[in-house]
Amino acid sequence: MSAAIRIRGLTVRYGPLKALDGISLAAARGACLGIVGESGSGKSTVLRVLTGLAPDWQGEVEVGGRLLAGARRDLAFCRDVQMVFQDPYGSLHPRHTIDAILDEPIAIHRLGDPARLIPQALADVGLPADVRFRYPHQLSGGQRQRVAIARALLPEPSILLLDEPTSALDVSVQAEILNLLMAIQERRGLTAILVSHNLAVVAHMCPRVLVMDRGRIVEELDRDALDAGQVRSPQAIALVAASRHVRSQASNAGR
Amino acid sequence: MTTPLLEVSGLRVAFPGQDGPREVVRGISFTVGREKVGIVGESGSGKSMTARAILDLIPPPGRVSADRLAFAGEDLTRLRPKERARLRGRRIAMVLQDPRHALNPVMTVGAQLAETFQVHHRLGRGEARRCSIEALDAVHIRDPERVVRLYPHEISGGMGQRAMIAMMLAPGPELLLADEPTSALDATVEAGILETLDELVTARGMGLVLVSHDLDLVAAFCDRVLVFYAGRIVEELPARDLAQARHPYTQGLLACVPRLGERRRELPVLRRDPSWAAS
Repeated sequence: MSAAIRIRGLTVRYGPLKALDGISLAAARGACLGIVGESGSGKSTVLRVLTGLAPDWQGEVEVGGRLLAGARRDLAFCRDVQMVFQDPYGSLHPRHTIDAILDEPIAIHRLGDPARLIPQALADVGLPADVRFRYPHQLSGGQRQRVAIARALLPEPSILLLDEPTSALDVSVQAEILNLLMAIQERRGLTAILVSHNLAVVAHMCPRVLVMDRGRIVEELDRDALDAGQVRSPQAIALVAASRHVRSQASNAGR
Repeated sequence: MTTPLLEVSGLRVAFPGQDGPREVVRGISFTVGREKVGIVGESGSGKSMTARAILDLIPPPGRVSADRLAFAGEDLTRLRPKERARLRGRRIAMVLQDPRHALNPVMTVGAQLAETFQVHHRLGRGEARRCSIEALDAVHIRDPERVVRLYPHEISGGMGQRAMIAMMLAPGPELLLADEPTSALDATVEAGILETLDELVTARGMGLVLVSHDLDLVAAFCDRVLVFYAGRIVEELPARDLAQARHPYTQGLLACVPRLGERRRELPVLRRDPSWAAS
């Protein structure tokens, strides 16, 4: 299967700190790749490099067969690669209506008629049509994240980057958003990268999971290995223990 | 049984809304002894407001009323604000969610801890410093002599939360309220923090109220669980019986969490029944 995203020897430095230390990975077309790790492990930095939000990096990054350079991304790239951020309270403009927020990608990418596209985009993510003329603060956290997903889907990307899309939400709302993301990913055949600190969330959505620690990929897991608890690296063992709330095993971390 | 540490009966918290006062806590009753009680619920269920009301920390224009709110047999509603303040920290302490916001960013960890000892135990500076180092050691911070000299931004979130716990336990409180003490931290750090909390609370024979949105976590660390929904307690049960929860809300919360080793194409979604919120 061809890879939609291929990364070789990617290094990112923030001052003396190596946020990413020569990592390599590939995301197969139409599949969902998970990246899990603690804060500071570099998992979000991978997405930031892809989207051009990290100005300085070395290595080789290939998206859809094209090599990327620097932090500039052209319009075609932005149309093809979209991102959903962690905090729907921070990622939507507080003084724009949902209509204005969703109109933005339509105007930028000249997608067509907003009067037709916006109601369709809202319906696609399971939001009622009357949400269109409300402001973000009038919506619940889950509804806001649906708006953020609708905005990301409007340009009909082939790649969707998800940076902790449910960690600001209640577990009951998390279930709704995960169901929505999985349905959309399958229906549209999207390539997705899901970044999260929650191993169970990543394992639920992604057949393949990379475990990161201090800028490196320390283990690659598939669902069978995870289900059987066959993990080797101390980081993965700690994450498995944490997601099962097993006492003592994870207790040495953080001291 | 002797007098419980904390008695709450008919607790209500209301904030003014557009059409009159809006109650966020609607007549809640429970007691806490020298045990670990977990309060779980979604955001907006009133769990944090309950903890704050116990400490008299509801900001105006919020209003608190209760049929009875007593600590160690003493009626809190009849105390003057100054007397309430004297209980706060000394006999009832609270650990907040995010150590990065709760610690003073311009004071070293040691100075903040020493201040607690100076205020509550009237210790001299040298003595307070020695106690601070001991307190950090008790919460399992490695190399406490070094950590006392560091500022909050120089330590990790987990270490910050340990320092915060050390600080809250310094006056020797009888009841500790912990409001989402680990939700700003990495999952792998979480268990360690809670174990330390558990160890100290048990060793000192204190009462602990652990507020969290994470049902599994509360079940693993508490004796009893109170499930909050829309400002009311919808179910109360021993933590070990959580799997046999009867209320559809509790069952729904348990079912919608993705777990390792389970393969579900779709997660069950909570269908909210308006009758859950009704009295």
